[in-house]
Amino acid sequence: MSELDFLSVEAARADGRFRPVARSPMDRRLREARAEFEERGGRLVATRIPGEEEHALAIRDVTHLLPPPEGTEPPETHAGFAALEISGPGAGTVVRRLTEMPLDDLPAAGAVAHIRSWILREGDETYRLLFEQEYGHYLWDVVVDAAEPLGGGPKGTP
Amino acid sequence: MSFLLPCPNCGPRDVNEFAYQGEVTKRPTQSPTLRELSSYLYFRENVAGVQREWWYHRLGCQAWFQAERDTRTNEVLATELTEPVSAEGAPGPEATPALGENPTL
Amino acid sequence: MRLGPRPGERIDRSDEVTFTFRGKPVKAFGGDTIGSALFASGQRIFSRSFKYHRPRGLLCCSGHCPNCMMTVDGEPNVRVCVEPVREGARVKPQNVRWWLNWDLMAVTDKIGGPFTPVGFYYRTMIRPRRAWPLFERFLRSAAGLGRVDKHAGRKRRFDTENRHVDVLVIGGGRSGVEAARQAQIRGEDVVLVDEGPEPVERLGFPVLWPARAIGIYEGNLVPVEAGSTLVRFRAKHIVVATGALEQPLLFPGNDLVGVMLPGGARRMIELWSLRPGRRAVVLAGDDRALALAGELEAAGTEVVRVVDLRREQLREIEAWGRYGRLESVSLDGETIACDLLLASGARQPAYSLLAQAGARVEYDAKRGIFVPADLPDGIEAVGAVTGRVGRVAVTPATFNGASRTDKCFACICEDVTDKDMKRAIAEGFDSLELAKRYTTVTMGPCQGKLCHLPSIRLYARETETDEATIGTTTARPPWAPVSLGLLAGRPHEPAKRTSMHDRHKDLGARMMWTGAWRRPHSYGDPEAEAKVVHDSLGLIDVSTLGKLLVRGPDAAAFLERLYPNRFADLKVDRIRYGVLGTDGGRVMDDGTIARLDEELFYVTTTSTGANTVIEWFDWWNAVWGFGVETTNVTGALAAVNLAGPNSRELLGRLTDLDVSNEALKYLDAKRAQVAGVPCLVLRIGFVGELGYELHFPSPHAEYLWDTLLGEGADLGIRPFGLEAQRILRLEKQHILVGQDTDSESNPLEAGMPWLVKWEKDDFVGKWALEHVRERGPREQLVGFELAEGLGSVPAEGGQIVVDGKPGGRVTSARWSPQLGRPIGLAWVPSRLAHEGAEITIKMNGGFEQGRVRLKPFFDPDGGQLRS
Repeated sequence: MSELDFLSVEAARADGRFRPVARSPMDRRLREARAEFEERGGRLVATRIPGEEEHALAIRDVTHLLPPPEGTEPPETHAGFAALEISGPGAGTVVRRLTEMPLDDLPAAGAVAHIRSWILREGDETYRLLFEQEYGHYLWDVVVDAAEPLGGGPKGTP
Repeated sequence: MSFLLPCPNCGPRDVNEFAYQGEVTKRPTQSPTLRELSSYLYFRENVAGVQREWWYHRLGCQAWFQAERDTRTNEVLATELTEPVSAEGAPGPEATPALGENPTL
Repeated sequence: MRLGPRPGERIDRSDEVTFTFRGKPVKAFGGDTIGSALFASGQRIFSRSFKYHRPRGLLCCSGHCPNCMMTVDGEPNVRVCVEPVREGARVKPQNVRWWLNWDLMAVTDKIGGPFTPVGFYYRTMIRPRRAWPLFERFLRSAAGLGRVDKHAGRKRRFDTENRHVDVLVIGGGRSGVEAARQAQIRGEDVVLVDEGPEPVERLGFPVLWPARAIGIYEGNLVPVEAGSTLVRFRAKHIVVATGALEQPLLFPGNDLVGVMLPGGARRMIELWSLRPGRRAVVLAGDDRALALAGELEAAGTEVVRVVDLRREQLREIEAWGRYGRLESVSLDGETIACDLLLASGARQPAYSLLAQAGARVEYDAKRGIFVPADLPDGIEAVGAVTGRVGRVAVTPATFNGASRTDKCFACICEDVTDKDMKRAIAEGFDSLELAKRYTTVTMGPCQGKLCHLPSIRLYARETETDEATIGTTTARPPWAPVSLGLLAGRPHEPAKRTSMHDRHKDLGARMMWTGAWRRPHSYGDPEAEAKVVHDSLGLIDVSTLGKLLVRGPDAAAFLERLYPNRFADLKVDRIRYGVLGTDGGRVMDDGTIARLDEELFYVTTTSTGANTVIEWFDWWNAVWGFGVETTNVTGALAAVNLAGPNSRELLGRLTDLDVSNEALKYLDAKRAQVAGVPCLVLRIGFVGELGYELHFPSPHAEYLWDTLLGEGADLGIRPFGLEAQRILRLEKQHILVGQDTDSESNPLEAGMPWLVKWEKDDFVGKWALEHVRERGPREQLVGFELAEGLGSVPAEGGQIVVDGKPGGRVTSARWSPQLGRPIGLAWVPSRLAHEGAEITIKMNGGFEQGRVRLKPFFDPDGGQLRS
């Protein structure tokens, strides 16, 4: 095993007896929302959440899709990040209800709901937050709460 | 407290994104007397005016940098990433003269 | 009385709204406020004053004075003159026993005067002391205005929002609107906020209305209350256009129902089409008030006298009434029947926000007002707030005649009369700040908006000085009362959870806080959990440990400079315990350092110290310029400690790594796949039994936890929590930094002199430790035990008694089920820090004898650990 493999999720190996499976820190919250899960490449991904069609403003767990932006965080730390996507009408307002950072020069790292997070912009109404996974359940709760009065809700990643 | 601190990497951010680590001091170069050591550890200039101090961008780029701030108004005049004191890793210049009576450890 | 439809009125007569007042329905129109609708329905008395319970009516109609405060839908202190009507709202008066028209507490107005002068509560109701509970009950029920419903749940949701703009204009009058328009023409990103009630002319720029700027803070931060959202603006440039406030005149009876500020009457007519009274007298201090006379006549009010105070010097004004309602006014002896008296002198600029931002305030004697000066960069003032209020009357402090039968109020919020102010000065409170605090003038709901200037002028006269000499009191936010809920916003309290958190919850763990982390205290029986670790096999989640990679050609030299320990000679795949010290030689943190390669070290820290340590490392790296790469992998890795006699057996089942005692010795570090998950295996022994710490990527945590518990079931595996861990580590006398050490402790006195390698050139803390070594240790951290079977355990922090005086303290103590006796760690004087010494511990209301033990209680020579 190479020196720093113990930091790499991809270095897990399935054999006859063992089938390691990787989970997102927001796994429990997604289960509580009665999400349907699928295993993809050794990771559990929430593909659908009942009632998600009602929400034009969507909150999605994209931990499995997103590494930190190029050159920002050392690769050894990547397993320690979780990621959330906020997309749809009102996404900008949700973000401005969580952070005081100026949003005109992204990606940038700063204080989001009192914790350190990267903010990335994918499009006019799509933002992504990348933050320490120890705060996964906390930031999920905060973002879903901020989106709720704007008609937002959780969504799966098909 | 809500002044804006211009991080050398990230630009102006609310001061609460940062951790403050006090005045820039001079560490003794060789074994100091008890008085010199106490002065280095405990005594500060504490000026009512422009002070050079350490800040850490805890919730942002996580870089250490120095700032020049007027302690009377919280106006930040300059911030900069610092060059290391010495490439060899030796400690900084001479200690400042000792202050105060009866230093204890 | 409600007038017929008028151009520009804000009510929508086609929209009928009904609310209740004291249970009875009141009809209103859309666009009405609760106050305007009540007035239209005939209500004249809106509240009873704070101390004297005098009847009060509409005065300002702009949300500034206290006169219209009522309880609406359970929310107290709502200013109904600006509160929009809503269908079904339940409105009630407050601070009355029991009706607005007849209040029992008004007895204080009739006879209380002599008994309730200014500051009476500092002198009365003190003796007999036994009677205090009675006095207190009375005072509590009499004090305050509205009542908070203690059983009301949190009904409203408050959000906080951040906005960055180029220009923020505060105030939507003529000047503010013009400033916003100009900013927009210049292409700047501008927003205008106005608190209402009058509407703002919309000229294409964004407007927040009604929205109130609460204050100006450092960094041009302006929090704005916009309904249930607190909008925090950061503006490059702030334009303050908050205008000027009409000031009441001071004369006997100036608080009677029917005495109003001219602007209040104007709003009643223009916004809500109300006729403010039948017969009016106008005492005008400026052009605007003068113009009101014409508006009143157009609204059907008979205007019987108009006085321009700039030309006519009145000396005496006295208002008369019955049951608190105005019936006549006497001007210099001439009595005029009226039910409406409009009176105001100066228009005092509302400079508060500017003063908060750092502007100076100076007195303009020509206009008799205080004006802002020396504005800081990034702040601009336009309009009346600058002091450009036109030609205004400078009125005398009071208009008292020789004989007067009624009170003359300087502050209607707090019921402070002119006599109270004079008395305060006579009692020696002769500076403005003292007089303010003693009389409470300006400290009521209006916060000085209507009484600051008049009280300063009165003060100047009574102390025979002038307003410029006296100056003003400090302006502070908030500009108007705000709900704590608005300031709190949504609950954002970060909590950290390990990636095995939900498994602990599933197993019924009792969770506790360790810094910002949630951790399992125990799974029901900590002593049994500790026993299992000794007897068979335990599993604990230690993911909260700080974990750092330190890399580079100078990594070893860097660590040598930071720690008192030696690391240059640490072999690859070996682990060493290290204690991190400050430059004062104090213990800062501890942990293990494993060398994974020539230039690669893996450092662990305490759970709460992780961030401090990596900041410390980064700082020294920046200062010394070692060029070492430090990487924080605390969250990237989860970790568990598998401990107990059966731990080797279980580990062996899950990995191809040779786990025999020869191949994986005590303090070895190896990398291997365990149950398919890439792990760093550290053989260390915090809990004193054969054991292994597994560090692996966080996303695999639940999987590995489940696998270990499943595969180890036949070996008797049980999870154990922090409490069991504390018992076990105490049996080995392993210290907890911050528990057994404090900010004064150094490694020499904390029982770890062997750590310090004096032959090193320089390390952080060396000089300080040399001084400690020279003077000799004064006190030392030692283990101690109490008698076998003793049922009680000393409290942490409990005193060690030496020669009848406190001489030391217990830092940790537990009952050890393994050893059958209480054990602990304590700081004792050096002369008692030897094996077998007897110490006396204060506990259980008495004293117990203990014995000092310098070696671990369990497995003192570490044979078990190394087996």
